[in-house]
Amino acid sequence: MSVPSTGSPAPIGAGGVGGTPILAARDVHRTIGDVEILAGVDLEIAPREVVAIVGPSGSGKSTLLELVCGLQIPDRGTLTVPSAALMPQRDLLLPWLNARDNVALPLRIAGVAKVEARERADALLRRVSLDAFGSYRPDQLSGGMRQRVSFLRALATDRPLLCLDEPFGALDAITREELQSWLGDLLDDRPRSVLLVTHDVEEAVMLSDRVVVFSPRPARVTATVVVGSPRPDLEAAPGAVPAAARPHRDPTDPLIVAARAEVRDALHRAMASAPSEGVR
Amino acid sequence: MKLAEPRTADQRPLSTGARVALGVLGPLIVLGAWQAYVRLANVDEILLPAPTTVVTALVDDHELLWDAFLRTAQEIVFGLALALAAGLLLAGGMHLSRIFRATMSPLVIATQAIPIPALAPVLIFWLGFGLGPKILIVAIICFFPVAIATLDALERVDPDLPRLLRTMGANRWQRMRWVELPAALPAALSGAKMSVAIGGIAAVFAEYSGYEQGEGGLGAVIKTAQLDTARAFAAVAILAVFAVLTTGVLAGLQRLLAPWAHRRPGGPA
Repeated sequence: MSVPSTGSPAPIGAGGVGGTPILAARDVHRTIGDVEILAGVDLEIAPREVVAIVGPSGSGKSTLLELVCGLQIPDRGTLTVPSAALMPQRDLLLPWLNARDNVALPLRIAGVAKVEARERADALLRRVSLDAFGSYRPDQLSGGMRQRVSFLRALATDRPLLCLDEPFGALDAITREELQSWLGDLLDDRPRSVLLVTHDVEEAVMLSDRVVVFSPRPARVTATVVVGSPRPDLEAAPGAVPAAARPHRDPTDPLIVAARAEVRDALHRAMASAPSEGVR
Repeated sequence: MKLAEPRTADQRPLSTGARVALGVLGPLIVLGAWQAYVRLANVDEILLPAPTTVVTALVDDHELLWDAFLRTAQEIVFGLALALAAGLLLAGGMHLSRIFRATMSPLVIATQAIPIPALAPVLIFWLGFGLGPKILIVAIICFFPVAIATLDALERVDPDLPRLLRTMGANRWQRMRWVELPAALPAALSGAKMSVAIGGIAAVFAEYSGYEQGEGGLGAVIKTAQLDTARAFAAVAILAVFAVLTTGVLAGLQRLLAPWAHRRPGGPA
């Protein structure tokens, strides 16, 4: 199911999913200083679709996220994005705010009054049974707990697109697995479009509907792999919950195994075809 | 055997009671040695009064000393408050604008080179003998540690934090209010803590330089004590105790306003 990039936008219907894209990047270029980082990236994300980007480290995944989140602008190409909420690589919780006020922060910045922002943060914490931790400061929470709070903060302002930058990279393997299934549940409950950047093929395959493989720097899309069975809800009923897809994927499911192999293969091909100076 | 011990005795934090007891014991040992030296070596008490003589002076002159102390304490407290506000504002401004920073840096450092004995009489000549110039002198001396500590803390703020706030749509003021100000606050209080002792010295110098009858504070007490060395020492003892107490209050304020800066182990996993 691997689709080599031809310079035209990665076809959204590759696995049978459709809908008007919520994010559309066409031929996006970005050069910082003398270093060409993105060399014509094409990418689309449908509403409620979870797209993972995997690529070698230093391949420009973070730059793409910064473009999507409005921290940088492309040098060339068009980028149509909705307002996006970022969950950064490190939790980046404000040490002086407790968990509840950290979740409420984006609401406060958006101008929501203190009382209402706190109520909405409490409701989110209650939804994931973390309300007992609302008054704890980040330094009193474990790494896994901080990542959860950080994710809730990204969810707080109903922005239609979530950008997750290696969300579980700093966690130990057991906590990471636990959080991946937690995240799958939560996304199922509050569907959003998600752009997940990761270098962990396993994480990409377990969490996303579609995996986009980046070449080494300067990055372009070299392959797109649709994971598992397509979700009917992306095309038809917006309220429907996919049955066969996320969450709770079985890592030994033949469809998942096939997707994993395909992504690894695409990554290796991308690395092999790249000029060696592009690989760090 | 030694490896099995999780912590050596030195690493274990002392209880509050033990800390206070030891904090009292230290000075008592020094005072005991001092007392013994004066008595055993028959030192002339005009040169070095024994601690007991100083205590007698404290009791005999307590009304005079109390009034003087209130005056000096006001100068120190208001001066410190002014230094805290000015130091925070100045550091904030220098952090926000590189031009302002380049302009102010040499001026700020230059203020630290001014000897108080030279500055104090001039300021009092300009501004009169009242409380104002004395507060100002204390503030000029104390604001430097506050400004430097604050600026340092502002420079060390994780740059990813304001960036993240930008993705939330935060403007400059909001980034200041949520990130930089809370990051700078504990540092500003640390700066103030460092300034307390020199604030007392500045207040005494300011009082030395001129005051109205009966309003000279502890500086005037020291200046007019002449051969009554015990009374001058009593004034100094009051200043020392006040410095210790003020530092304690500032440390408490820091814990209250910036609890995150005092990481305590434990909590839920």
